[in-house]
Amino acid sequence: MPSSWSDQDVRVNGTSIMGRQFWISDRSGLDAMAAFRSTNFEVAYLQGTMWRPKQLAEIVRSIAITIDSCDADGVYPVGVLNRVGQLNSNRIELLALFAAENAQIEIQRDVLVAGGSTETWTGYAQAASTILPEQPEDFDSYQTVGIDLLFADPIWYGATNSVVVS
Amino acid sequence: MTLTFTGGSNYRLTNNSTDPVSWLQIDDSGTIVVDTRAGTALKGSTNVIAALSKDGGREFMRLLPGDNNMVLTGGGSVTIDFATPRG
Repeated sequence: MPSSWSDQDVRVNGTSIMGRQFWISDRSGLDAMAAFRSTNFEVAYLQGTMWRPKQLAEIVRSIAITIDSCDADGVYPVGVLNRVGQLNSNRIELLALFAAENAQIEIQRDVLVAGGSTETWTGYAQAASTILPEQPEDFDSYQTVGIDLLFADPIWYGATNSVVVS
Repeated sequence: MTLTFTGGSNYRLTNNSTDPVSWLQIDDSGTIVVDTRAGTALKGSTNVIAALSKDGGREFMRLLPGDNNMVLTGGGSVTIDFATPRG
């Protein structure tokens, strides 16, 4: 795991996916911003198009994850078969995080901001397409997997505030 | 966003800052908790979603960035717990 990301954790339903057994190797997709779905213009030569208020569309954010063959403490089992077994267990643990039934999964990310403080952002998503782990031929020690997450609400939300109206 | 209504009856919370003006009406009394993300309205453990009506948007309640001109009728108060959009 890149050391520069160590204090910017990402969690799925509370479980970190920035560990030693698996970690996000490309999370730039998490920063993707949704496009505006609609338009403020009545397009020329497209009669019948109504003006509609702009609203943010849903968004698919893609991340890449590397799965290693060590345990959560970074210890590699001795022997090829044991490493393969650990790798398989790590993959099962990871994929289960994205398989919540009848519910969106909660994605939380810690984001470093100017001044050195950390904010926690939260979004809700579900897997948008097939999750297909890839493993290099004749290489038993790691796998990579791309995961597309569909955010029905494309906004990341920060800390909770409270106001009273009376 | 969570809206907790207490101490009144036939609440109507209006946000005059949105365009169009948006409001949430609850034809009930006492303490009622509305969870806009979950789409639930509970009076204790009782589902009172049928007592809700609204206008001005698809959501139960809309908030805009900055100050919002909000008015509650029906007495009591409402506590609004909301998360700040960050990215």
